[in-house]
Amino acid sequence: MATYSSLNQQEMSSFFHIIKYDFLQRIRSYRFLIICCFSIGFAYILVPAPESNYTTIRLGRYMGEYNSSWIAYSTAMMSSVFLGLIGFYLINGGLKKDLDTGIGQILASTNISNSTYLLAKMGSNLAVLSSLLFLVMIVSMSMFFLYSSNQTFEPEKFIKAYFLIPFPTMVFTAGLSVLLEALIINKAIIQNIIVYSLFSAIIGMNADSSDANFNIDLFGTETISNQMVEQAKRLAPDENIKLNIGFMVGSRLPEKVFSFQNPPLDLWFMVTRLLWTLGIFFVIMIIAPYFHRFDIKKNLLKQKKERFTPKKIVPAILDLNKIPTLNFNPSIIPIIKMELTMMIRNSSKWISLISGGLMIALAFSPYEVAHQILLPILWFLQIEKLSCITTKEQAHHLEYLTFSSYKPLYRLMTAQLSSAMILLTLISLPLTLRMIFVDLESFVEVHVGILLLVLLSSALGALSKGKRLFEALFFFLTYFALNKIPFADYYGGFHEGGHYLMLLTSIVMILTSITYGFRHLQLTKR
Amino acid sequence: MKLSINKLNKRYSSSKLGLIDFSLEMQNGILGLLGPNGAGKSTLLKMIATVSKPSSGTILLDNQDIVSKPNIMRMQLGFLPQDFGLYPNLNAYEFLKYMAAMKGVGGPNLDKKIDFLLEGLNLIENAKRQIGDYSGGMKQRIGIAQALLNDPKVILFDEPTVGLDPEERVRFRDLISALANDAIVILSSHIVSDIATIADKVAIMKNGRLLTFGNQEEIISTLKGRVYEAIIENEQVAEFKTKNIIISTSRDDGNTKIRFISNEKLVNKLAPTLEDGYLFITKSAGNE
Repeated sequence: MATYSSLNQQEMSSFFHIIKYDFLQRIRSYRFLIICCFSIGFAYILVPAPESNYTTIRLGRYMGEYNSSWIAYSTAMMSSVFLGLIGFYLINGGLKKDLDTGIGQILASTNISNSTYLLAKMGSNLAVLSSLLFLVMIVSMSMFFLYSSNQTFEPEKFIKAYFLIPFPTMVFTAGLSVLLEALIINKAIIQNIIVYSLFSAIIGMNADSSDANFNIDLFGTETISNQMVEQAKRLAPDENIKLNIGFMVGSRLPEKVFSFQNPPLDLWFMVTRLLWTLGIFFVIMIIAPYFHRFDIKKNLLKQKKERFTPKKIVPAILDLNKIPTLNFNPSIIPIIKMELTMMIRNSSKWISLISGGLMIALAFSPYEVAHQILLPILWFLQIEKLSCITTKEQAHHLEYLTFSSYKPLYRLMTAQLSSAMILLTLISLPLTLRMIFVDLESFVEVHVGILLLVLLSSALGALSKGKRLFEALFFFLTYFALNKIPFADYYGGFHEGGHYLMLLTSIVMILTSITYGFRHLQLTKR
Repeated sequence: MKLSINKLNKRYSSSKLGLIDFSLEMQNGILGLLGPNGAGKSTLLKMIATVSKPSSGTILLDNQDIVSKPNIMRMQLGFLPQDFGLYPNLNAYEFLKYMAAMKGVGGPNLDKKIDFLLEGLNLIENAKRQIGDYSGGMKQRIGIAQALLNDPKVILFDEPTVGLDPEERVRFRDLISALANDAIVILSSHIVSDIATIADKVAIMKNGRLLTFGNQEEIISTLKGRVYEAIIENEQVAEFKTKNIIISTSRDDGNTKIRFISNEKLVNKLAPTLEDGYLFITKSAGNE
């Protein structure tokens, strides 16, 4: 018989093994490599080149001088916000994967406790996010050498800033993903909505920036941004200096710089960062006894009105002499019809109801609200349908059947893209019909936006062989589009003019080449 | 219809070879592909099915190169892969319509044909149920139905009897025999009895190489007069195994009954089977 202490040791050993191998399983993929490339690119643009025409953190008209403190804290703040948000979409699905592969059921039959398993999954989520964060930090350090002159490199400031600001956010995100999957594993869209609403609410409340809201500063940016404002105000005490975080194009004034010095971080700041970290840990411990432990088929069957039991039938005779013959029919319309059927069925009743409500609102709400707010939300609700346009063959292990069919590249691929475009076009119809009469340019831009969205999904699906990258980017795009960040306007909500349309069209053409090019490679280099 | 495979190689990496110098030629009839796991059977079938490209060599269908022109094969191919899935949100009827569209076939007879296949494969009663509710055997039968949708002239079945119950297996064998009158059927399995009852020709593979190709009788005849049975004490089994090629062992009243191959003249001689031939050839080939 195993003693209590040996069981404890066994639990600890299981805990670290799950973290280690789950982490290795996730990073040994082509998708992770792509995500790393995106992270490097993201870190690179976090520190604008001195001659560039955009800023990421600005205090009124002021920016920080490129010393260690400014680069460390500004990139740490941006990483906390962006990686905190997008990170969820990158790591979410760890438990679902265990369910789909059957690993979950195997683990459930061992003596590992719910809390050990859930915390281990949180640990592996955190390991993935920390790896990306580490990468961002290294690139930020490199940016110092690239853009700073006559400044001392102080690595400890980078380590401190990243450890205190984005790292606790990553812990929270890692835990939140596990928490939602432990409670509602098969409701990915509900998980997305919860996360989106939660993060939006937190950011919204922080935007008020009153002391009362200080405690809900999940991203850990408030104290630092207050310090930045305070230090900038010393240069211009009469100016009303406000902090702006995000990618802002134009109005950069190279002469308006101030030297940001290491901000004093008080005990309360440390305590709040620790509270976010421990908070999610304790919440997981509390819900652990209610974790489904992958015994969810029972619940799913309960939802069905009638339980299905296949009938035992006496085998019939398949007389090949009487088999009807078929004609050659290369039309892709039947494929489009079935792809549309699958997309429509791939969503919950609630999402369909909300989408229906939004479609009605598109027809009757003020034109600008419909175009700039309701339309991107309606499209975002279709995330489950869009994210698997070209990846569902692999997800359902159907690729050998579909790839050995007649002209799969031109017929299947084109049908998949067409069906997604038809779906988005149809649900946007209440608005686009209004546009025909008042704003023909926006009508064209919305349709280019549909093309862009569909092709972005298929290109990222082809590149990463999964849907997470697109989901993360789509979330990112929607969030920034709703906040009127210019570069995220992929559907012409805030831009006008032929140049912008040309830009969108060029992106569409690039994405088309990537989509077809990678699928061609997939088909020919296997 | 003639399928010619010439010096086919598949190299996954510098040290990993999936198929080595594989050559074979066949016309209408059933070819049984036998080999242990990792022998290269699925690799070969995927290349014939045009979902994988050979590193070198040619595959000709009626003298047309299907590696450079894969759609020639795809138009007349019925393929049932070893691991495949189905879209769970579609019912059997919708899935087969989808696959018919993918294969580029249709017309006024499509509904009739799907009904015919579903009826013949005992799926008609559940045809309107979503596939996500189906058992493993039912999914396998859907896989068989999709392979037959386009009246294929080349039919590839990779481990097709997995998930089928004994009754369904027998029916499936009958179906394959009927199909082979007018098509090239390649059936891969490591269950020798599936192959033994229906295959016109047998190819035995190991480690990516073709070890033997011929009629069942030719393969079996190499062991004529060399298959024996003996009952020995359990303690002697280990030593016995070092001196003979063991086909099978079973318990017999506290002792061990052994079926084995020997070149010596012994008593209890047995008639050799395809399984004896298969095990003898693969074991003799070692691990090279």
